[in-house]
Amino acid sequence: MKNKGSDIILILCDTLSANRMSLYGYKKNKTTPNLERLCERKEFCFFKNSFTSSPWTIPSHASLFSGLYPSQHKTTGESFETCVLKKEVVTFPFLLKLKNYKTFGISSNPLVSEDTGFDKGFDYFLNIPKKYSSYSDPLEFHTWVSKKRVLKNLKEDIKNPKFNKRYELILDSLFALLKFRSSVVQYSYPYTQKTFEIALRILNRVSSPIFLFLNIMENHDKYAPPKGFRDRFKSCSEEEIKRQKWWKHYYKGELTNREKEVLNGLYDEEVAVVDEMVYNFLKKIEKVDQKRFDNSLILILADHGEALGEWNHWGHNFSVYPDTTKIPLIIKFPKGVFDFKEIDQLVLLQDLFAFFLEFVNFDIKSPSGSVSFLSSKRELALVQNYWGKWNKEFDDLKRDNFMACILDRKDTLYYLIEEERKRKMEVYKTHDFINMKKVQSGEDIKNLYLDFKKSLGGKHGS
Amino acid sequence: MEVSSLSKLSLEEKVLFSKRVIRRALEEYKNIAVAITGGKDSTLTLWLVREVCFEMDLSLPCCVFIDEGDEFEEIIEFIEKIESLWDLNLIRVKNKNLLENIKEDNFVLTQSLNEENQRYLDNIGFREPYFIFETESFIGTHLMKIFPLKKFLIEAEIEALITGVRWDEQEARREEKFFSPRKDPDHIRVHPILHITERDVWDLIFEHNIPFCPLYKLGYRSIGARSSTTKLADIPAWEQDLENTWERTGRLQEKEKIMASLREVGYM
Repeated sequence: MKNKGSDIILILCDTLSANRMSLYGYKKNKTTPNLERLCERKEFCFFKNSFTSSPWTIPSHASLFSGLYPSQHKTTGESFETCVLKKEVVTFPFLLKLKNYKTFGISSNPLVSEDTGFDKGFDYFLNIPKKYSSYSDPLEFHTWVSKKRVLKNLKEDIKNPKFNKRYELILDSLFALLKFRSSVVQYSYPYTQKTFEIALRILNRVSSPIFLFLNIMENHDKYAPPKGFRDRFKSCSEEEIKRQKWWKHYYKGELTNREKEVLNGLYDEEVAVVDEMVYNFLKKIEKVDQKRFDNSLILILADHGEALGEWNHWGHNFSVYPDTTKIPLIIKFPKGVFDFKEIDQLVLLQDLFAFFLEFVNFDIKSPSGSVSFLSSKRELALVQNYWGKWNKEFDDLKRDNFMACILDRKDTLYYLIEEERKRKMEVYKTHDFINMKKVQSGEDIKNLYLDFKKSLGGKHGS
Repeated sequence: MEVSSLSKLSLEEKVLFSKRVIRRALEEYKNIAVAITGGKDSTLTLWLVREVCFEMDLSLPCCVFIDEGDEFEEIIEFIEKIESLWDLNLIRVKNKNLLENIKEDNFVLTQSLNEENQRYLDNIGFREPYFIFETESFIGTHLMKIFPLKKFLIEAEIEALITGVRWDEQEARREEKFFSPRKDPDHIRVHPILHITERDVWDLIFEHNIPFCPLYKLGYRSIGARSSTTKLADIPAWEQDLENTWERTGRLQEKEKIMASLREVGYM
């Protein structure tokens, strides 16, 4: 592959489910007209069958950065200790740095920050909500900006010798927060705007090659699309947005039909927000420097999806049906490098590690869990979700490790779900991961899955 | 004896108990080693072993020091000081091959290590092409501490290893026994100061004029590798609120941060 010091831009849309994007065949609402337009262009392509390695933020980001399965990198999120990236793990930004990339990360997700160790390998990592937010009232789930706290942090920063280099970005985030007046979970739109703004500034000021990682939280609950999007799919009134029965990644109580409708409509509107914001961001890069844009590698993807009632589940982090595991993967290759369109092959989030190494011509082995889709074909993918022991609010039925296995076998796709503790397995046959037909016995598929799981070994050292 | 009944003893009685443990070890096992780290606990333990040896008219067993390659200079100097002061038979163990193959930013290519190290990694289930070397990580602890110590125990055919762990150090140590059999290789761990508290350690050090590393004077309470040890306060360790704060606080703060982040995104 020809690579002349291309920039790599990775836009991770937190909680964006592929099954809710019209690009991926979602019929009810036209949620992604702009991304569809992009994918008509020659240098863009989208992978039809891409999956996350785990259906919630911490283990999936750890897989993305390490190229390993959750049971291998052990940042499984089962305990507080396993919510932090292990110190010995090598991340691909770390390796990109060895290849002279300058590495930048901007994240709106409080779980993707220095505290969880995801800044490893980044020259600069900014977590917008974290930098100046206050945890003084954690039980209320609020991150109101406390002026006292802001001043205290600012004072400390001024004393920091690195401050001069970073003061602009820091002040930006400070003013952004004073302006936002809401936590990223309550209303993420201003955070997303700020993320793209800072990203553009980095692109304007830092020369190639750079690696830029962005995490935006639009699709994460609560769903609060900005004005202009709120009535796009005629989902609900202002009052209903505020009353939204949604907060904690999963919903335990019964929802009325109207409430279900509201959540579905709002989620779709947030997909449309992402569609437009990402499109505008790419347009701006293109406008500023056409040549640089042409030469860059750009990826749009998610860390996991969201369940919105299809399989009787709501939210994410405890179920592994395709609504939470299937993620979009759109790639813009440097001009003249690739010209294929839809890609049917199976891709797992952690495969990006090997792909990046191949893309930058790094002559070094990839981690055992990562397969570059440029040169090899993956036949089996595993999604691992371990029960968080710290999470007291799981009801008894959900205290289990949920595993999924996707098998690409002679033009037939299989989807297996295991509830580990209950030793219960279900096998489905599918062609699009929306319509799934239960297979009666599926013993051979179950055995393949169990053998593969065994080959990954136990979870040592956690 | 239980934790509760031992804690009621006077300091003098506690010391007598420790000496009884050491005496029994010296009587029962021929090949004994004392593990020293340069920290206050292992120095106190070594001092007690020395006292018992005087009483029994025995020569001091050999001492083993694991050099992690990331030691404070003060620790190295302190070890040298007690080595000559107490005329120790000191064995320094070190994973040289690993230390030689650590690249910039602590990056290590697995295949650059010798066969022995690679085999050890394979045995603990690590089969990836590279890792970051950190002394306090799972792999770091194994390669820098456990592996060299195991090698020493096997080569020197040690039957009993005396160490300075204490019950009040951390939660995980609460279950420890005074004599604890270990596998791979088979040997006995002897823990003579399990029941001694952090406060007792300082009282004994000052009462008997036992030397200690100057880092404690600067505010360190627990000393590990240089890169992972932080000061808890600027006042000397023995003047800090020992009863109400933990020696190993760093980890606790990390946990609080994670909890806050999880709550912020709506978990818990």
